[in-house]
Amino acid sequence: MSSEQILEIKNLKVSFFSNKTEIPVIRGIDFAIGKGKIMALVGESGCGKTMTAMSILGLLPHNTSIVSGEVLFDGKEISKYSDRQLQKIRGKEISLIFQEPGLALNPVYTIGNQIGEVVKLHNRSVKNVKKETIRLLNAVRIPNPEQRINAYPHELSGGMQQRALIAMAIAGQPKLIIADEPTTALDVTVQAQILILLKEIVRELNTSVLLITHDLGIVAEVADTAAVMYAGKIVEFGNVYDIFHSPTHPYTKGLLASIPRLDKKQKRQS
Amino acid sequence: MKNHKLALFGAIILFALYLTAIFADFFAPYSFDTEKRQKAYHPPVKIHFDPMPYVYDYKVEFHEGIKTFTPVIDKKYYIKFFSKGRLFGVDEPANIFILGSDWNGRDILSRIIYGGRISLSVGLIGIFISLFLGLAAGGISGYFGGITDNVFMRLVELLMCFPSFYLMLALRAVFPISMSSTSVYIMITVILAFIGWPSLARVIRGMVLSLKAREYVLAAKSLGGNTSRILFRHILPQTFSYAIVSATLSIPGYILSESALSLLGLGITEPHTSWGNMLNRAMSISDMQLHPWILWPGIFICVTVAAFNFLGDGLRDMLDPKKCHEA
Amino acid sequence: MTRYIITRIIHAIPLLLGITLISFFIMQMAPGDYFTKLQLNPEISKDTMEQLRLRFGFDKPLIIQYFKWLSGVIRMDLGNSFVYQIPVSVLIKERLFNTLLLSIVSIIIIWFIAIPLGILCATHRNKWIDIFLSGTSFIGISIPSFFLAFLLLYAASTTGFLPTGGITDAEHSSYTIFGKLSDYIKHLIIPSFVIALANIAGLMRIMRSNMLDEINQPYTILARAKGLSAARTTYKHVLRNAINPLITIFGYQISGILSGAALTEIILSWPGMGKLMLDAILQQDLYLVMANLFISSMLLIVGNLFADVMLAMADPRIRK
Repeated sequence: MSSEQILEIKNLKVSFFSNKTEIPVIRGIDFAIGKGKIMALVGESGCGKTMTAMSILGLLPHNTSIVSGEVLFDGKEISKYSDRQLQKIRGKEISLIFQEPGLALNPVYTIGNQIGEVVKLHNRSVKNVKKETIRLLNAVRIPNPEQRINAYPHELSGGMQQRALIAMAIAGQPKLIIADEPTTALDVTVQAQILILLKEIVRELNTSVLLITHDLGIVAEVADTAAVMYAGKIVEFGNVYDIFHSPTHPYTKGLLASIPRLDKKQKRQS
Repeated sequence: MKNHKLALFGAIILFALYLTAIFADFFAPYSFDTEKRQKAYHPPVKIHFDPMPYVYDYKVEFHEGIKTFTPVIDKKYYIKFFSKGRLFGVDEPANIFILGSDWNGRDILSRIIYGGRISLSVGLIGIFISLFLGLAAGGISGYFGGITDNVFMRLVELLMCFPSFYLMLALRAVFPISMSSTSVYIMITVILAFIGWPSLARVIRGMVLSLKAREYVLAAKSLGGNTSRILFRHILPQTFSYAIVSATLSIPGYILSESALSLLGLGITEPHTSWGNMLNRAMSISDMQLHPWILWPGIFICVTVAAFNFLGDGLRDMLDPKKCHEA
Repeated sequence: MTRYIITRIIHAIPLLLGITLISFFIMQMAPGDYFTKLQLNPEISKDTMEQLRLRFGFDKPLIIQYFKWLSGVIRMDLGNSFVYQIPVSVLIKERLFNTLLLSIVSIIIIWFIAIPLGILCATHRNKWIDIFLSGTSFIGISIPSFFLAFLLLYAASTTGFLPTGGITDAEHSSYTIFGKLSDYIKHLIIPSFVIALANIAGLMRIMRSNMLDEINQPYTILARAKGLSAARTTYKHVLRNAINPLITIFGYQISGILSGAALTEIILSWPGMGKLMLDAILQQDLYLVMANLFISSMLLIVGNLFADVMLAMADPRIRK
């Protein structure tokens, strides 16, 4: 394990168990994320991207579990960690951002309360939680943080909600942020802003990002490396530039070919 | 899956109950008003086997003012089946009080079976009327909207402001205290239906509103003109499945209301029997302590209510497309 | 928030008027009137009756009578009882407190048992405790409250453990303060439990189902991802959201609780409004019946108002 890499996945296999039959979901994937780098995990819905994120955090649903393989985070093998050990890592060293921010925020508590929750959990030295929360809101560019701190999630726009989620994600100063389709539910213009914000955060905090997405445009825009996932396996992995310009796997080629292009005439598939 | 078995179980129990009630003359060993005054408060008769089933006659004695029943073991009275047009019975002077007898020496089991006719039918008829009213009101209200809708829904809301028990008693007060049995029966059914229709109407209206939004577009495209009648015939039937589930789950409430009314002496009165009015004597603690078997009608009520609940739950699960069957 | 409360109160006023109208209308349908009973009383002369007739406006059209009654109601004058010959409001006041006491205690019991059990079932899904509780809850829903009252009455009378009725012992006035308090509590146990049982079963199942719904929500997963323990997530996040629908349901349950309380009062000789209502009906004491009907539905409306306000406090989305 290179000291340059924050996360390394080796031959990870995850299966879903129903009625004593085993249904493989992730069939042996390998990839690595460098420190301070953004890696995109690309694929269609249902290929196992979110499952990968959940496996890293140890938050797989009831009848799903890691069958074999290694998850090395900062040199530590966390796939065998107990829930309690993982709890210490979650939110502090690895944090999560979700796709639909409106659903990821608890509707009955203010965003100040929910962000403050993370602050209290992981930065025990922070005496003034409110001050820290305002600082975080500023860091994600939410205007009027002193007032917004008392806002409920349904009072904020989608973009604001996502920024609040990002604030929660950076509160513990994590080494790795897992962003599961963070912009899919947002307008295109807001998408751009969030991506810029993400890039800034990576620069300032030297965090790594595992960016899960099905949007190749975002991959091109933001990611350093990319892994293409299909049916539970990684079919292509490498530098973003290489993947876009000289893809090797037919699936990758197919994905790239399906992006509508303005400059070329394209045949419609019947 | 478990629900389906339970629902079936409930349905079978209900079938058995209704069957015995309808053919009470056959299933019950005695008529509902056959009195054996000396054998008042007779405890449940023990059945012995040799291997044919038989019972003993009981001798009534008074020890220190307490009435005791001791079996007279010199003569065996075998249970006769299919005699005198009844499923089973015994010769005089023995009695086959399987669940004991009441204060007038009437067989409790027979009274329960005959009582079932009233207790079980009031619920059914009442819900029928409520369904009719609820579907009509909800359908009209939801479909036509506007002032009609407003008026109906205000009325429904008002009626639902009255706790059912108080409303039921108040409506009962509208009628004379003593009435003929048939009148009482009709009165109870009407009162129950009146209390029950508002909640049903409200739900049906909601369903009609959402259905209207769907069907209307199709109708506007295809037919135009006088479509209201036809739509009425299309929309309402789609509410039937929900209405039936709702009805099944409401019947226990009706049965319990009739029982409560009769229990308090405001419903079915002597000598006619309903499960509620049989429990009237249970209100006296000493009676209940000395002769706990008079509580049997209550157990039948429990079983019926449980059976309807099982059935209703099962029906609801079957008709709900969102529920996946848990493995 | 205050604006919401005021809106709800304003909404309740036409309801209150409406129930007075319906109560009055129902009573008009009853056979006989104030005077049928009075005529049987030899002490009242014909002249007095004529005066009363004029005073109560029985010769005037119904609308006027209604407004006369309504104005009385607003002044808390609900007419006189035929049987007791004292103001109805006096009779009801005595009983109202008892009914409220019983109802509120029952509600507290329902919530304090149903919610923890529902949470327990949800967090131990499909384990034996869940199956056991879900099974018994079915039985709980099916037992009629009056039958349960009989069974418990039987148990109480044979074991002598708990009193078999009434609100106080005969020697209540000679007890110490502590004795008086425990006397009340002893007498409350059976009736409140009878009322509570059916509702506990229903509420518990709903709580369980709500918890299970919320546990699968994205915000729950995110809470864990933030580093919160499972327990913390359950109690701070899931529970808070699972409870909201229950408050709405509580609003619907109030009617059932009041009705259940009335029947239970009668069977267990608890001196409340239910018993008063029954006596009034049996004695055809019309004003008393009408007032009972009106007051009980007023309780219902107030209870619903309370539930609405509670819901607004619990769920910020409602306040808008």
